[in-house]
Amino acid sequence: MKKALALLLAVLMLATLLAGCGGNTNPETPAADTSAADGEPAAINFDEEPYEVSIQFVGLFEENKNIANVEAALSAITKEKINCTVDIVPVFIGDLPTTTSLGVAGDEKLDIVVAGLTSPLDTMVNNEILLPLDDLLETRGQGVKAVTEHVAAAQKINGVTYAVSGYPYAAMSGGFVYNKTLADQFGIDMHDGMTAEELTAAAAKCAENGVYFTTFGSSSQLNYKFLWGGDYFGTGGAFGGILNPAESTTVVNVFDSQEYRDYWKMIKSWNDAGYLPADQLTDTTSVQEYFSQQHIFGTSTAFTPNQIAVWLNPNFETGIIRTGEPSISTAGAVEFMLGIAANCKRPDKAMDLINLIYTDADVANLLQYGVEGTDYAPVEGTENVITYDGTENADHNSYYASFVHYGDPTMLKIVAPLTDSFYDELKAFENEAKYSQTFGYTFDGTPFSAEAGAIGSLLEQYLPALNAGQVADVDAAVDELVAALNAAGMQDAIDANQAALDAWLAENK
Amino acid sequence: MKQDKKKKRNFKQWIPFYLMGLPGLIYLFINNYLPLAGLQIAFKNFSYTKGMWDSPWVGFKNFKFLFRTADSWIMIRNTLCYNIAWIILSAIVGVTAAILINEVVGKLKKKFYMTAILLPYLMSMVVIAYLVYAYLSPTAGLFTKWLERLTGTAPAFYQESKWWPFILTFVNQWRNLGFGMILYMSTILGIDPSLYEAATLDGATRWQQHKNITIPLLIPTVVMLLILSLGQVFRSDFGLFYQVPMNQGSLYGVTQTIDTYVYRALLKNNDVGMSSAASFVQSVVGFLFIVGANKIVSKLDKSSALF
Amino acid sequence: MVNTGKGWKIAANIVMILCSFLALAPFVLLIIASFTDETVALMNGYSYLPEKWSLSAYEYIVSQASMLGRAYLMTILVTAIGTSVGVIITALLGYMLSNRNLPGRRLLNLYVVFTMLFNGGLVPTYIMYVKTFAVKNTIFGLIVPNLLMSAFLVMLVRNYFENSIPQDLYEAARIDGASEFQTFFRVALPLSTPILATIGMMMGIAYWNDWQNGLYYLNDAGKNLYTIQNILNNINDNIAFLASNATSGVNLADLPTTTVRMAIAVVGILPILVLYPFFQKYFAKGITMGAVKG
Repeated sequence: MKKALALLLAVLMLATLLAGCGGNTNPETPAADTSAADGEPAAINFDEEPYEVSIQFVGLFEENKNIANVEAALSAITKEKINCTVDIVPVFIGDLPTTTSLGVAGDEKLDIVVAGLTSPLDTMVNNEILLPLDDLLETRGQGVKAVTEHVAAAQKINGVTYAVSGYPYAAMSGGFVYNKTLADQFGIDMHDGMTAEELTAAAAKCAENGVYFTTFGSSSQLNYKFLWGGDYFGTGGAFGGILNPAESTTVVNVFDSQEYRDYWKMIKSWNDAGYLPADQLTDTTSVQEYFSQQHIFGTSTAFTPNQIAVWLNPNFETGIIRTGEPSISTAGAVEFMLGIAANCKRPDKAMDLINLIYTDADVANLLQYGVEGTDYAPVEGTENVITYDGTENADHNSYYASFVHYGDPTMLKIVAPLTDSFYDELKAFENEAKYSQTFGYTFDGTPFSAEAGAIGSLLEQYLPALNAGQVADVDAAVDELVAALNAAGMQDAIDANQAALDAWLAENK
Repeated sequence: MKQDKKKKRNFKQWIPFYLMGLPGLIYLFINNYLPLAGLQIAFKNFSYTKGMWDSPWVGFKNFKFLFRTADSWIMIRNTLCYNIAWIILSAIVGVTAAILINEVVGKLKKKFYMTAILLPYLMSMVVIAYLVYAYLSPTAGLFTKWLERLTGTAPAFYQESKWWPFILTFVNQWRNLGFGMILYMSTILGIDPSLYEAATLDGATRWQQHKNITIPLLIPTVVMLLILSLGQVFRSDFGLFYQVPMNQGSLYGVTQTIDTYVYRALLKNNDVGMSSAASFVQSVVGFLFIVGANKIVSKLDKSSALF
Repeated sequence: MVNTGKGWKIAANIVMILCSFLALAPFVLLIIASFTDETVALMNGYSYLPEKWSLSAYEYIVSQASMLGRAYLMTILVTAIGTSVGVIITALLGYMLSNRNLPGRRLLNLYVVFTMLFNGGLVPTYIMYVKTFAVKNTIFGLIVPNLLMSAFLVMLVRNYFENSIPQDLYEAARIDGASEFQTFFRVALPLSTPILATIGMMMGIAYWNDWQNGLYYLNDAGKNLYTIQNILNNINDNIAFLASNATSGVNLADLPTTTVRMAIAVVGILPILVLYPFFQKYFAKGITMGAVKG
């Protein structure tokens, strides 16, 4: 037996050795052409062969039949302007994290990658999937720098920029999207700034008419987008949060807050009164489906000027209300970003393309909406409004970007039913929004990864029932959750977070 | 059995054997041994750029999250208890089913039974979870409704944890019955029919035949499967414990296993180092169990030992 | 009842009918659910007699994947190649290990069993296959990684060769002057059809149901190689993603339905059911060992 084990060990060592030879031998950092002096925009070299820049295009599993034509149209422009061609790489959203990280690990062709959408920026930076961009932005990315300037602080991790915001309008408020046809029928007055009492009254009316008010499913996400904003640190608030971030800089355990207790009590009262489906927790039907099948009246969502477009349905009229004040937080600004893969062979060309996306309306529109006439059609009588109806893209299988957003939103065309006034609404909403005091601050939770794991598991365990209002006693359940969270070391993480935040504030304010 | 006949052959005679095994051994070397260098990820702060060799060491930090929760004991207990109970149960159920299906006469009947019983094995756990829900759902469950009609009340299955050890055991056995049956059946088919003929001539009853021929000849297979299963004693069928109970918090006491905990803990920021660490622990425990079991078995009957 | 075993036959049939019922009842529900109207399923749950039938789940699958036909062919091809190669190398290795006198047998057994316990994880496996063996976007990426051979099946075959085939038969063949390869092909293989059918079926099912290799080793450039499970899994993942990210932006018109999952399962399972009876003849035939011996 001993001999066998020793031999096995020898095999193992041999295997390890061989793997080492074939493995990742210290990849040299790609030779970025950043030779140009700092601050001086670098010139484009038109003498070399055009480099093909790949860019991730995240969607659902559906065919993008027209993608080759879009690439050709794009490449025609980019060849002339920045001497490169474009390869649009469709990635199905469920595969995105695996595709990107394995692509870097396997040193495959990857240039412009999507960050923040399915993996948080700090996680990607921690795993060293992204390339630092500051030098490149300085020399070749002045255009994108200008567009994303006001959210630049949030793009940095420990002072280094790793990705640029894909949608630089980061203002958001709580919102509630609802079935307007039903609201009119039931005589419910839905308006901006509805209070908890008014919503409860609306819920009662829905129940009288045999429609559930809303459902939360078995979600373990925080429902903070519903009634108030807030800054949350770590996934799901594992390292604490600030409930009133425009004024306060005190990090608390949000689950222990009076606001959350009150909110959960309200939801419980809704559940007890039958305003919510009884089998929320076990039902795997998605909220969207409930909504489109008209089994629920509405659902909580983040409010932005174009959010309503997401919820449209051919069978009824959709409405949306704001339930809170707009705010701009770090988390909101980094939800969708573009970065450059760590193993990119030509970061300079990748940055050239990113810059062009943010400065050239034709490039941005091609990438976002495809070819005019085939993939979308302009709406008559408008300046910039387009529609998919009546084109090959009516079923969204010609060229359709479900989850990505390229470039400056004020340069892009507007999809009906939004109107030409959308640009103004967007800017007004952004200007109205208050920045959170901690805007630009991120907490490096690496030392607390063990705690974050344990906390994540506890939140999965307790939050769905609380969020659905299906607990016998809210206070008892919250006390139990908080005790468990503290046993898992949450308070230590919050204290460390507060100390880091105080130091950051002292330095930056 | 024939050990006494052992002849010392010179090495040259063995070369054809080694050649036969070679393709398989090479495949295992490439597919399983080469990537083992990745075990070090469990002890490192993994960076995709630096790769597994140049990422910095962090000692046992990645293992901490497994023991940072108050529920460590519960998930270890659940994993071990379900596994050990099911290993034993599967052997009994599988052997019984295999013996019974061999008693069935008629090609068509046999084919029908085998096809039907294998069906659950072909379904994914996600689909099984939906089906279980279709039977047990509190509002529209077929089984709940039937119970209600019969007894007036029906339990809220997805809220009461006391039912789940039985539900999970049932689903597990139901799904794997076909697999186990075929496995043992192929061994039974290999039994020399003349043994039964001789026994019949001696006037042995069917029961005696099974007791004295079938079961003893199945023992090596049973023992081998037992030892091999013990290697997986710290692992669990993720889908069964996560999807089938619909991830209900109130059921965690009886449904949380090491795998579901790791999944829940790393759900949002899939940390390669931490998941490697968890898998490493599972492997080491499995290895200890398998070596221990093998040692015990080889003491009892040397020929049944795995290695 | 003594000797004839009539009571056994009746008991066996009763138990098997019961087991078959337990297995079939949910399967029938699965098929019916896939044909149930979405709204009805939402309101009343699934039932054996839905109030309204509908084909929309299947229409959705077809609309999402115009490449279903090619994907089926790919699946069949991958399953056929993978299973045949796998069965051969598994049987050969099992045969080698079954020889009790083989020098180094214990170590080799441990070498095989060890692979069941420890694995390097996805990332190192992926790096090796992609960088060293360049399987990305090739059919090898679907066949080779992880599925070609499993230690469990090797042990199963080894056990069969060792315990179910009389060692005398091997000796007899050798004494007749047969080479080891001849002994293997003429004596061992013909006597082991039940176990070969078993492992062949297990491997076939594993290949048929596999979507992970496609997920890791194929990307957009290799989508011509997608198997049916890749497509079904992607649709399934769509649903799962949308369900867990209730507020993220996606147009409602794109939404798949819950009955689609049932339809997906049916589409994935039915072909196996068609092929399964062919395998079964090897089980039913049993072994004609007496004849070989005589």
